[in-house]
Amino acid sequence: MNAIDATNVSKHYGSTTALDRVDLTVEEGETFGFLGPNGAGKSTFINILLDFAKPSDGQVEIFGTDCQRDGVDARERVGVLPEGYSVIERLTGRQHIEYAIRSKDAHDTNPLDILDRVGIRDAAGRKASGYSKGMAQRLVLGMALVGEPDLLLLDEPSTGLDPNGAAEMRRILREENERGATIFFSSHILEQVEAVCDRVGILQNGELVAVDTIEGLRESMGGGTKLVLTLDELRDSTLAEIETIDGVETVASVGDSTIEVTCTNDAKMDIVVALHQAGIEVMNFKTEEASLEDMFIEYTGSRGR
Amino acid sequence: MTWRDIAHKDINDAGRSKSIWLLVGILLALSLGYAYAHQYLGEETFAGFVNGLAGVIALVLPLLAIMLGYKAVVHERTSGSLLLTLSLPHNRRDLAVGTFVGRAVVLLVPTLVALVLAGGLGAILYGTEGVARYPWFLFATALFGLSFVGIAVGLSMSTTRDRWITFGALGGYLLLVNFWGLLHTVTLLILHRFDTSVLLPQNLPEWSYLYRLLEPGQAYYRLVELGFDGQRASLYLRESAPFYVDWWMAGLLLVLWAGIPMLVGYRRFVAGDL
Repeated sequence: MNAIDATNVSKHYGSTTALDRVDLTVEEGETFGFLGPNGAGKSTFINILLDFAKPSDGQVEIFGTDCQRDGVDARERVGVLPEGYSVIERLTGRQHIEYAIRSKDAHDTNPLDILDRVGIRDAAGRKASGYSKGMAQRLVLGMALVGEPDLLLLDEPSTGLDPNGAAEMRRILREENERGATIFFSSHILEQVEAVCDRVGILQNGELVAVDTIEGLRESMGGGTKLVLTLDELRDSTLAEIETIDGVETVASVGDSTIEVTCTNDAKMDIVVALHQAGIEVMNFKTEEASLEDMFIEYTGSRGR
Repeated sequence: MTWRDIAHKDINDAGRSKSIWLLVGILLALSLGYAYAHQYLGEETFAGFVNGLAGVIALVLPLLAIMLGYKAVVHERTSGSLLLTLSLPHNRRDLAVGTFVGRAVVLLVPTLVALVLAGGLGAILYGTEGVARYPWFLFATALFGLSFVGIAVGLSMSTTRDRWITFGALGGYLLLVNFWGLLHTVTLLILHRFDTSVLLPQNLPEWSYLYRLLEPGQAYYRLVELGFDGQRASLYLRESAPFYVDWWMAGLLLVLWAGIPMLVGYRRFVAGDL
């Protein structure tokens, strides 16, 4: 059975499209990174999984249970770190964990063990509204861990964490994965995803533009090349024209008149010829091997940090 | 049945708020204060005291219930703590029920404690005749309080627009507590082309009794009247009053006042994205 099964999911707000026909499958036991710049639709997708929002079209299942029709059953097996939450005003850290324990019927869990694991045991008796963002993030991760969920759903989990905290978070995610949990988390920072994920999906403007293993992504780029071309002038239509050439994967403008093109080896000459025919002179020409970071930037048009 | 967890959380949270002590203070001061002051204000019998106390409660309890409830859901929703609750295996119906129960407990426990104490003081000062029926008064008061908790929590689910919530809370209090009688009179006058004779007791149309009883405070008095005869509900005891303005109708109306706003608010709450 799949941990997450999304079929043709779209979400429109008025005339804007937040998600456009997303199909995605996350297998049981995977660590899946959901990558994309801010505003790409990652949170919208996660909100639909949690039934905070209803899809305009399509459907999503968690372990075969429909997230909208049987939301409670779907969330029964899930630990969640949502985005944009705030802690419950007057409850202590410990009471937050206890709330999760009661809600998930995980009565043999000791709240202090959980707080210990996420590194805020010392603050157990303090009101959570006085916590820093990083501590709140640890606390809610702790709530997510209660009851050994089969799926951890984390929206930008490293928000507010210092590098140390982010490393600790990754360690916990690894441990949970080893225990058998499926992990699905979103991030706009590639490094974090690269470090722990079996597979990644890249979301751009509501569209899932790539889903592959890290190696797969590297390989698909490895066969290709990155061209850095400096032109005498960059016309509005130039990028679109290059994009139509066979073998070209991505085109991005990186400066006044410099463009970066990722393409197959064979397409290199075609590009130069096409530019020549269009009357654009190539001032400088350089080829590089594309890195994953380049690919992310080119997929998403954002440096992501 | 997960609403219990949410109610538990809500009570825990509200119980640590400083304003809850203000609530307890107000209720204690008003009910004990009234119990003492009643000897200067009204008939010095236990029934007279209860009727007087009901008049105070009818003004204050709606205000406290609305203050306690009108931001219950919307505040959690805009601050984001709602997301933590709904990330757990709870659905929005559990949240609605849990919040209603939580706020009801937070309102009614101090209210009933204060009224029991005031009842004791009243019995000492005004005699014990009718004390056995005091639990009925507590029951009627609880039902009356619940109707406004329902109105307030229903309102807090219905929208995320602060202005509408505030407007609704204020407007709801004024209409349901202060101006229903006026609205009743004006409606009758308009329907009878400003012929004021319609307001004479013998001319009141039957439906207008029910219309008057719709005001939660009136329904409350009607219920209290069953245990403690008083002037406040004498309208419904007239011979010309229809049978359906009896105490059971008053009870039913209070239940509806709690239920219908909750239902309307809930329907809007489930339909929307968070």
